[in-house]
Amino acid sequence: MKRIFVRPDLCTACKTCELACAVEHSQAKSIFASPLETPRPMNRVFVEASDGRKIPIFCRQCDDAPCVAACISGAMFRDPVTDAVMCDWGRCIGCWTCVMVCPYGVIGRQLELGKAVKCDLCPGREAPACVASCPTKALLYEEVETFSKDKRLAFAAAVSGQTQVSALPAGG
Amino acid sequence: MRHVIVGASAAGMAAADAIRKRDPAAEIVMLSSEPRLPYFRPLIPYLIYDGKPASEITRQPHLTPKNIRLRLDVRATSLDPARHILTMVDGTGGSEICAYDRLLLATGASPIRPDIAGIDGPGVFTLRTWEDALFIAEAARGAAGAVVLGAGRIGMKSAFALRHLGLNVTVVELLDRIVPQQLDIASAAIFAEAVAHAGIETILGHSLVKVNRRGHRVTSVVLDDDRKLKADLVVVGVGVRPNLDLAVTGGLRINHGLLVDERLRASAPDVFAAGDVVETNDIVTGESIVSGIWTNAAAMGRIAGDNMAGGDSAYEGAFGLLNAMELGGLPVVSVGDIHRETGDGIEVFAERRGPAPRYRKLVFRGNRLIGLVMVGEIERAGVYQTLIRERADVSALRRELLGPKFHYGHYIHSHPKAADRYVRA
Ligand SMILES: Cc1cc2nc3c(=O)[nH]c(=O)nc-3n(C[C@H](O)[C@H](O)[C@H](O)COP(=O)(O)OP(=O)(O)OC[C@H]3O[C@@H](n4cnc5c(N)ncnc54)[C@H](O)[C@@H]3O)c2cc1C
Repeated sequence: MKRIFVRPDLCTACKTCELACAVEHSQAKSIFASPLETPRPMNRVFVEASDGRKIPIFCRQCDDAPCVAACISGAMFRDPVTDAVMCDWGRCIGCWTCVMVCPYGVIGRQLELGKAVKCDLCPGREAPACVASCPTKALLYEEVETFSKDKRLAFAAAVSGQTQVSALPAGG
Repeated sequence: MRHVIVGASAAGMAAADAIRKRDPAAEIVMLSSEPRLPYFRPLIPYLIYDGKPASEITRQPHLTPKNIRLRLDVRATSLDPARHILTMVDGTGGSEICAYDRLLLATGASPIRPDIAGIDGPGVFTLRTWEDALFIAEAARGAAGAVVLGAGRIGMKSAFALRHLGLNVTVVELLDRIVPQQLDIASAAIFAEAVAHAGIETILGHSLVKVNRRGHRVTSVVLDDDRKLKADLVVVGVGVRPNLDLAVTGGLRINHGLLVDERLRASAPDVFAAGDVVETNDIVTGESIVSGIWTNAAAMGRIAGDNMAGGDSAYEGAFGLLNAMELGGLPVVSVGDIHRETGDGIEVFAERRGPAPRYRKLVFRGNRLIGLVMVGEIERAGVYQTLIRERADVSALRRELLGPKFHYGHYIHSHPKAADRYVRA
């Protein structure tokens, strides 16, 4: 099962991922035309900074996802093929229970439609648009097993500012 | 192993799912006293004004665990925990015995009918089940005016649904504000405007003393100050009470709700309980509560089901308040202990901005965040909710929490453990 992973020491907060995500989830899929669309194309990844440290925050497609468990309308579900947690807009009533329970704060609201918006791992693409667009390879799309525990711990250390993680070879 | 689950709603379904995950071969029997296929109870207000087809309210197959024996329109009437046996009665009055190895009571709750002259009889409704909603829809046809008793969540949803149909709607509430459990004074004032804007009238600080009828038709109601309001129907939404009848027949320990331990076991061997029927601890205040929240019911169901199938999951307690909704086009999230004022170790930060109404309130106790209200802008509410649930020490995050854009990056950078969890897929 593939997931998006992040190497925060490589992130320069250029926000290319945010833009690529919004464009990918638009009708025109064009950096020029998409911003003019209604409903407004929305990004599902958010590059956040605090104390000079930068980190892209995105949906982890949690096992036992709180948004799926909490959904009061049957809109949230896990796609059996992609393993991504999806929101069925035919069922979503815009009650925002998912926004309230998402630990990462990455479920947005499509205001014009009153529907919840979240990362779908870009079905149909080799790698999600955010990963494909990242100029510094701070984002990776990897099998969960490949992104091993060691790397995760090193990552955690980097995030908490204890040590710097050296750049991992491309492809993990 | 034969699991029997009484109640096929939020808690029962989550339990069945958890059992199935752990044990693909277990036999799972679900009993529901309702004649309908399992559905999403919070969606029934749509049935009042035909806002959604039945197919969009019913639980979909992909959210229903596989290989379940679902018995509709059967009521479990007595429990014999010593013999591991239930007695049940079906819609035609036929009685049957059902044996179990493990039993889950997920019987939920039912609306309270307050003691008001004339309340029992045609034209006065509560809203808890699919059939209730259809009865209201039928009564609303051709009606001109409705009175809703109780400005809680159910009352307001009923009021908006009836307003959708063009009825004149008046909501009567004993307390001094609308949605008094889920909203504090300031946010209730914001929503009062939205409610008025929708053309719904509210009368606060009063209650009903009488329902008048001519023949079988409701004609008016009388308030406690003798005011008379014309009405063709009345919807009562003043709260719910756990369905404890079955637990009582089995001699299980009860208080306000069915009492359970942290594994969600009731007081007899192999009997578990989950959802609105259960009395549990408020995760924030530590008080004993009966929750009445879908999200809590599903969480309890998952834990109970896991334990029934041989797991060892502990329940950390429910949120007494865990509310997200949109009312009159305005979103709100309210979580935890929000009805507090500064003093006695409590610090309250509240901020209202306009012109589009935005309101935010954070309640701190010492180093912990214990309460949250967000109106208008609710983005990233889940991060705050997580801080409350995890009883996180937020002393290092105070400035960011009060700032305009608190996000998960702040949390990660102050809590290395959170960082590790973030990268774990
Ligand atoms: C209109 C409305 C809107 C709501 N909106 C929200 C919301 O926005 N957010 C939120 O968190 N919550 C909401 N709720 C509350 C939520 O629906 C409940 O908390 C939730 O349904 C509780 O689930 P449960 O499984 O514990 O019990 P229930 O949903 O009450 O289900 C219990 C089931 O057991 C059956 N049963 C009972 N006794 C027996 C018996 N002896 N034999 C067989 N069957 C039996 C009942 O018929 C029922 O079908 C709303 C409720 C209503 C009515």
